[in-house]
Amino acid sequence: MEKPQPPVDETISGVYDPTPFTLVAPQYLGQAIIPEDNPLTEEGIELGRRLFFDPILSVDSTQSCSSCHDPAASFSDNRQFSIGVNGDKGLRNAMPLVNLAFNPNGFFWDGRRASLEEQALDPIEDHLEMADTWENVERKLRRHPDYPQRFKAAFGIEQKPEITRDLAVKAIAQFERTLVSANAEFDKVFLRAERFPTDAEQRGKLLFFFEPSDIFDDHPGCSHCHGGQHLTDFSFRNNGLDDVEELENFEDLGRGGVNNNRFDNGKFRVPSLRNVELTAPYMHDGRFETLEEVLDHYASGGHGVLNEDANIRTFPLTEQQKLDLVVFLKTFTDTSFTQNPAFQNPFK
Amino acid sequence: MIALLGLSLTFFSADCGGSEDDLVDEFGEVELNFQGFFGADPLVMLANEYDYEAGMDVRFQLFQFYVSEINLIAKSGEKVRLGEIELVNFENIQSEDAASKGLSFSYSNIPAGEYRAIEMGIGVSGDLNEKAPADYPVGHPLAFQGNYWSGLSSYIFTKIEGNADLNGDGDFTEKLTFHIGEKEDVPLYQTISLDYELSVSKDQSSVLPLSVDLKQVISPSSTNFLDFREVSQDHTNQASVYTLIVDNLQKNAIRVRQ
Ligand code: HEC
Ligand code: HEC
Repeated sequence: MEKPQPPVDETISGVYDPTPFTLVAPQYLGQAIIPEDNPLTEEGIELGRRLFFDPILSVDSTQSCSSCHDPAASFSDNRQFSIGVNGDKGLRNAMPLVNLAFNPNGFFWDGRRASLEEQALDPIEDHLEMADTWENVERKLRRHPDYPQRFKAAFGIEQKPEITRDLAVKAIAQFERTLVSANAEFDKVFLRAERFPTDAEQRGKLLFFFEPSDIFDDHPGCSHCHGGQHLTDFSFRNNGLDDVEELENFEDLGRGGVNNNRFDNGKFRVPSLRNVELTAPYMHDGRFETLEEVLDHYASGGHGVLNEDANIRTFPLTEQQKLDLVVFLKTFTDTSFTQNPAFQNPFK
Repeated sequence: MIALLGLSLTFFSADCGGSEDDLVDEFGEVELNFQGFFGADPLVMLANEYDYEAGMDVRFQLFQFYVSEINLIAKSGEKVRLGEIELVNFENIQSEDAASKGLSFSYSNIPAGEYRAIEMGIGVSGDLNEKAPADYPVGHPLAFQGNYWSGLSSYIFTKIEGNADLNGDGDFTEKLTFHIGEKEDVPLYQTISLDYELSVSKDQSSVLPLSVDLKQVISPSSTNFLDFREVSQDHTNQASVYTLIVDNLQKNAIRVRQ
């Protein structure tokens, strides 16, 4: 007969006295979406930040979320397709993580996850990404010298087995909701009128934003989809990248692969262009390396595929207009965001 | 969408001795249903093509418009507010089945009684147009950034998007984008009223069936239509284009369904 094991003490030391955290963002960004069952606390955010930057979440402890979501690149990477722990290429371009708290329309390029909590469950077990299992990650977190106290401080649990994936993703989502960028030149000049725009910035703005009173002709009209303070309307659209005979022929079905609506094949979420200067290459498959290539694509007006958005129209684009548009796109860069000490790797 | 208890409880006269037409202190539900048409055919986005004037054909991706300050008019003359604002958006009507169901907006807590008409503003009413998407919580009809022109501080009241085949060769190469919003010098909001006898009874749901004919909006007659060979887009800058759309949407396109 086996000897009975002495009971292991799983009690977590430390205190639970959470400090509520108020997300500071300008009114013009609208209301942040914060689930009632996951209010922001300083302790939760700090735990989330650690998990985000900690390779403990991957199978061989070589990769963290930040491996593909680097703060310096507005939390994206500069590869066409990200590389997972096994050296495998992913299927899509890593997305920047910016102003996520304001997105009402689902996460990922195809919007397949409704909340940041749900989203954060995925990369851990994705074989092309961190390739671990949540059972294993939970085990590693429970055994860890530091994490149990942090889970207690954030969520008030008492016992190590209470450390679960659900709490881990809640903490990560809390951290992600704090990733607010609203201090770009775009904000200062065009939304807060703190200084006058330069001539090039103003010309670029008039090309990007549709000002109906003075437009009769073909116009870039970027704001049809990238309008407003978020530089996106969060909708799913076909912006004319691929020339396919039938809607079934898109290499990546995008939104249609999620809702099985063939008319949504080849549609992807209109991404925010905040920090777009830092997030090359561009589009869901990273096909364009520069903003100039992106502009050439739009000026060519798409391919006339059935569900291609009607707002994708050819427009004239002189070298000067291209320069002006790029100058304007670069006003979206917010280095106070990418360099914010609260968003950096806590282990460095 | 369920209208919150926005209606005030002060307007109805529940005292005894009223006439038969008076509203009573009981509540039912009213469902406003919009079915889209293109002439006699159901309006279906993307999947259907329609004959157009001058040998052209047309296909749609999007047809949407705002309605504001939606009121029922009781036989007694009292007005009962159904809703402040709705976006009537046919974008996801992509099959005949969906077209026959139409778009429904439900309002609960509507005083029971006899009604004779519905009244609504086509567009975004002046008060509401003072605000911007950031002022509203997610899911509100006015929260959607894509329907707002920040440069002009106006919502886009109406959008029509699609493709035209200009010569009937089967290629829908011409992209169509018509976006109508208010500018300072161009007031485009108008209230319309449609007669309909509607009884609302306690705990029952009554349907108010409306039709919207997009053909009436862009092509009311063979001498008066948007000629896509000449114009394929407007952003409220060509008066002949936007007045055609606005006038016909307000006066001719929306009817009670028989
Ligand atoms: C191997 C690279 C890689 C790793 C590691 C990774 N991601 Fe991602 N991330 C991506 C890619 C690629 C996408 C887009 C995938 C898609 O759309 O299908 C993405 C998308 C996202 C999005 C959606 C953003 C939006 O705007 O919709 C979020 C949020 C996110 N990742 C968070 C995380 C978190 C949290 C972790 C760690 C738990 C993580 N990622 C680990 C590559 C990675
Ligand atoms: C019809 C809507 C629409 C219009 C108009 C539009 N875009 Fe886009 N944009 C999109 C969509 C959708 C995507 C994502 C497509 C994909 O990855 O498949 C995108 C992606 C981008 C990207 C890549 C961002 C990233 O993180 O990879 C850039 C840059 C961009 N657009 C800039 C512009 C500019 C500049 C204009 C005006 C010349 C413009 N867009 C006009 C819908 C639009």
